[in-house]
Amino acid sequence: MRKALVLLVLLNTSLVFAQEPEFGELSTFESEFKTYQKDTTAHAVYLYEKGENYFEVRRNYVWLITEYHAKIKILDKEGFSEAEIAIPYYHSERKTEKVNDVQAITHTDGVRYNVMEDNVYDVEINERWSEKRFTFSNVQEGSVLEYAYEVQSPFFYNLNGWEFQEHIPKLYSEYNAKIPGNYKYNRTLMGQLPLDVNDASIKPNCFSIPGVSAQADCEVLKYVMEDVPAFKDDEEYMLAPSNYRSRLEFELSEYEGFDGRRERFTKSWKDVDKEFRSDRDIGGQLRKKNYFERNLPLEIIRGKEDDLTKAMNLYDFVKSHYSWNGKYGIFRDNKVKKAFDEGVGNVAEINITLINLLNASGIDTDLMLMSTRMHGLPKKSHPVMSDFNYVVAKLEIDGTTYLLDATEKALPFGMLPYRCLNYYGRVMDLDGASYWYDIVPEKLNTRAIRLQVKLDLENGLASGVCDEISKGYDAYFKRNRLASLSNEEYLEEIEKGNSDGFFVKDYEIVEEQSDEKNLVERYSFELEGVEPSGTIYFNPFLIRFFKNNPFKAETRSYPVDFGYLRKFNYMAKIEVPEGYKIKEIPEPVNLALPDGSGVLLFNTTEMQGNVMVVFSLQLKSTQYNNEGYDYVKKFFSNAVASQNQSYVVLEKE
Amino acid sequence: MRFYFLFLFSLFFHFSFSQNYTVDAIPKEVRQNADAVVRLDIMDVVVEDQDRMKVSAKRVVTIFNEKGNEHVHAYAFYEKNDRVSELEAIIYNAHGKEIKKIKKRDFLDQSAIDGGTLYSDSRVLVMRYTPTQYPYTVEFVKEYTTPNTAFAPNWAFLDDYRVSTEKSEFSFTMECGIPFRHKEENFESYQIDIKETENSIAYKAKNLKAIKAEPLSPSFNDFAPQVKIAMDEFHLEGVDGKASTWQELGKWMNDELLEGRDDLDEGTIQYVKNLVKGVSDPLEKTRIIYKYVQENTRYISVQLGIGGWMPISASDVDRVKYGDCKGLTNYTKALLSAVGVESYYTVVHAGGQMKSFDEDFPSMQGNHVFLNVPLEKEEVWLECTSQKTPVNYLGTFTDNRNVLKVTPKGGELVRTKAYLDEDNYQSTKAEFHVTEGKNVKGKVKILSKGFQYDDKYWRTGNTKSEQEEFYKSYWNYVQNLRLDEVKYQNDANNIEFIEEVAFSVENYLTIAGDKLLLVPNVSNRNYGVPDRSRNRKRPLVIKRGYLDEDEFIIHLPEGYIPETWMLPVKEETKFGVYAISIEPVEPGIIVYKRKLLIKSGEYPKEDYKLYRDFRKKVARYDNSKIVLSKKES
Repeated sequence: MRKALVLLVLLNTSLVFAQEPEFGELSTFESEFKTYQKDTTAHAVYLYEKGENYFEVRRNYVWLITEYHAKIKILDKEGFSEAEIAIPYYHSERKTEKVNDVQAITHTDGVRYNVMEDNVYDVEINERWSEKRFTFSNVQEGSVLEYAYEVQSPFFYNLNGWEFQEHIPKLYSEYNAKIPGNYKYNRTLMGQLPLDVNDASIKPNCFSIPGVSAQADCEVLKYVMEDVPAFKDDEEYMLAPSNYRSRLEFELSEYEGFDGRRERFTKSWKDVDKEFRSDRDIGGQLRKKNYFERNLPLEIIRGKEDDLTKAMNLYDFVKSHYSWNGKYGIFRDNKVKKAFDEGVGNVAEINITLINLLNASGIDTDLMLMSTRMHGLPKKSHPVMSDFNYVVAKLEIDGTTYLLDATEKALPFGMLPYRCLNYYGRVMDLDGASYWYDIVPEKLNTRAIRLQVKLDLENGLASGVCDEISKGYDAYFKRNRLASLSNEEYLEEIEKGNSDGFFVKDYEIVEEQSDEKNLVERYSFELEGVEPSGTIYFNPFLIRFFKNNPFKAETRSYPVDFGYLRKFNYMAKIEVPEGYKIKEIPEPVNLALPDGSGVLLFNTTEMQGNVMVVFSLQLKSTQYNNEGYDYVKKFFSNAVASQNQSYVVLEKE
Repeated sequence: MRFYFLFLFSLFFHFSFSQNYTVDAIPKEVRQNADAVVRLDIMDVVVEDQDRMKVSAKRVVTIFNEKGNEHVHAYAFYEKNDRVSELEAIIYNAHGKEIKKIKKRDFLDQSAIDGGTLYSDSRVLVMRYTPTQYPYTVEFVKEYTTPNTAFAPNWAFLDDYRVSTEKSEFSFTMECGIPFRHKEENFESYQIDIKETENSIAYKAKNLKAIKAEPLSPSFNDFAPQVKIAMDEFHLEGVDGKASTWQELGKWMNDELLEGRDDLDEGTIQYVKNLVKGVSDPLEKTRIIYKYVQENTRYISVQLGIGGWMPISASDVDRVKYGDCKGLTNYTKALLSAVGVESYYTVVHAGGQMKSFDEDFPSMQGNHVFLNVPLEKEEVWLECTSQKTPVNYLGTFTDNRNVLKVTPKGGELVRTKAYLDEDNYQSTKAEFHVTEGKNVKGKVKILSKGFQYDDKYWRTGNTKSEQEEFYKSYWNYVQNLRLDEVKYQNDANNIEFIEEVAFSVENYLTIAGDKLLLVPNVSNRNYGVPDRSRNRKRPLVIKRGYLDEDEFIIHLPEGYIPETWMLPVKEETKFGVYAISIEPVEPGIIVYKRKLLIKSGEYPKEDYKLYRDFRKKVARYDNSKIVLSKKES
């Protein structure tokens, strides 16, 4: 049944792409293509794209070859930016990839314009990457840009797969690979879109190397997707776009030479664990206990305090000792000793130092490999090392597990930075087998605001006192803000965040009620522009959590992800001025998201001549899938409306 | 001889300063309001020959916080023919103790290509250092030789806002007898020593306090002390030059950089001649050629060697149909010349800041090139890098400033057109219906001219989702906006843009008991209130004024009448005029009229608060509501 389906699709395809397209030739379909009905918002579209990977012996060396060929239709002027092409290539200290045979033609009104070789520029991006760059000539609305090139690579791990989905739609995207049995790659199809062609066959005796009589069989692969929609990823609150973009991922797992010699890269977690223990980059760096014991005042490690206090002291020590250089660098260039001496390090160096110190002080601590939110979720099906880009420390004290990251100075013990709230990681237990471990973010994250408001009609003012209590991530973010701004700038930020005419006075942090997970701020305020009249319409939200609904798009094709649970509380006590009485109070609001995953409450009451306002918004889940998007959007829309459009009506007696 | 001098030089510093990089040694008034203090900034420029300039610099900066990091300036840009002979940095802690030394080979050597450029051969050596503590001090030494003397280094005694300078010394020495000019700017309120000899000039300044940024203030360069230098004979990427007047500089550009780069093949010449067949009016010809350029070329920047200043030839642009500003301008000029219209390549400092070429100080200035077409009635300007800008539209990019027109007879400094306040006009006319008691549905027609046209005309190619994004942010005070049909009409001849936007808003009105609250200004609120500026020090500058006129017809919900009417408001100040009124048209229908005029100008610092008060009033009135109550039946 499945085969039949594939055949049908193939047949269908072959109607349009009757034969293998020659470079420089357009089919009638391609030259007459005018608009893309399936997505009229597209500025450009791939009519055809094909890539192929294979291995070849050239001058006695085996190379990994990538061939690429694409035809892009420019639909309007906004699509002209697609005419600037960059072909990245990789180099190490000793070896480099080579980009060969760059050909590029603009097809405009039946005429072909070539890009000259001396208009292809070589640009060094950084120590590891360079680019060949060029732009097409004579680009007009309706032009078809066609280009092809080959990359010849000595790095077999650079057979990475294929991007089916990109920022513009594709009519047809094909990927082929011919891989000799000597090389084994793990492969994964990411994203939601199905393959239209998914062929694999074996071609016997297709690969040999000079001087060796043995021949290898090849696995011949062909994957095709048709009508791939553009991928748009500029929405707020999301995990890495790479989790959702359709693509094929390959990772080199094993090489077997003709002499029977085997080199395993990654295969099973068991292999990874074994390698990890002997690996010099990370595993090896974990065994530098002695170095730290020699170089630290002993009382830090050998103190008599209980384990938790000791762990906290060590955590604070590492945080203050190091400045994070902004890099993650978990697989390369880790030099923990050097980093420690200089007081500057990447994530791996800083957290490996922490792990070493904890272990040296007798607290059993493991390293957890993980991936940041922007990097994507690691695959659970099999180990893909490039899925990981971050390490943290994992330890257990008195039955409680803590994940620690010492790169951020204001980060409380046991919390991870926001970038790390990516659901799970792999704990590399040096003594046993590695295992997956869930990242559970701090649960209590609150902004609670309490206001006492007096209306001073004579002066056209509302004035009062505000207490704001922030907990968890909210406290941490505020602390970061406070550290990076001057006092004056911070207050101006508060003032600007509110309506114009809101002035902050006598700001203080209530230190005795604050610690690293709690921040209590207190200030008095004045709000201008309250005019006395027979009837006063007064919005009781002097401080607002959201000015606008963060969710603007009409639809969303991937989940909303908040990272951590959130809670917002607002309580205000408004004294009714003398000579006035309450005429109207806002209608109460009581809303819930499906399954109780969010609650919105807004209630106003009259109590002993005061107006009491209670507003609370609580998100009880960190993630809402795309089917729930409409609810979330509506939920926030209601929350914004409650704050912006509620009025207490006071009337002169 | 020079070696000897340098040796003494460095010895001197070792004794008097390196001991003194402690933070405590900074005078209190210099420390105030500073994210970074430039402890010492020395640059000695020696011109050994017309094509050989040697620059030795030493800079010591103490950084107090993260924001100060950008003021370290431990980098060296270089071109192919430059030679960076010395580069080193030493990091000191707060007590002046050396903590790290960074040698030249440890600097990151990378391509200095910016975002909009496909390729350039400029490179930069950058110091790599992550600060581990604040404050810290960086001592940075650099020495380089360059053949390019066309850009003699300028000197700024103050780097930027929130950066102070303890000691700043600059010298310029001419060893090969070429006459040079110098100009001191904004020295009045500073004590700066000047020592001039026959072939050199040197400046010394001490303890310059940090300046705080103020909103709507003159630009930093208008009041910060600085020195400009220019040589009368110079060299640029293989080309010698000689100029001491704008006329001569323009002549040199014309003869060395432009001459002979306007050739086109016969086919193209015939083609464009055909395009203008039967047309005699030069303006009409210009329109046709400009349209041809806009439809057939696009902007791509490639800067190689002299190509940073010399356009690629017109025939090359004709072949590939792309180029940078120089290439496209020169190409348009060649095409116009082919149809008998004379035009001039013009150098400008482009950007919203309205930076002018200095009339009294001819030197290589500017960052952009566009085209001047002198017609009988008026001078017409063409922005050749844009596929959408209309003929003779300058916008905020090139309006109201001195620019250098390059003609075969030489350079000529001319001023581009200024838009008067009322020229920057926007009219918003709308009709709204309140439906289901609290929703609003309506159509808005917005007409824009002058610089207000600038904000809009390029949006014609937007897709539906881009439009949605735009209007949701333009009307961000309106929640739950749903966009219906959007129509654009771009009248490039009259330089007017019309947007017709239909939309609906859920829950626009607020229910307060049995009353409804309605903000009649649905679609042109101006909440732009400039930030508070404590102890204002500098004048208030409004660079460009504008005029908005609005008229909204609002159909009230059935059965409701206004309980309170907004009284007409008219605020007239020296900064402009604000007026609103609401009147009934017929039962159930009201009309809201609004006018906001902002006048450009420079006002004394005392006026800042008044201007802010005025804008606060505008914001408040734009947000005010009327109360609707049920009609008593």
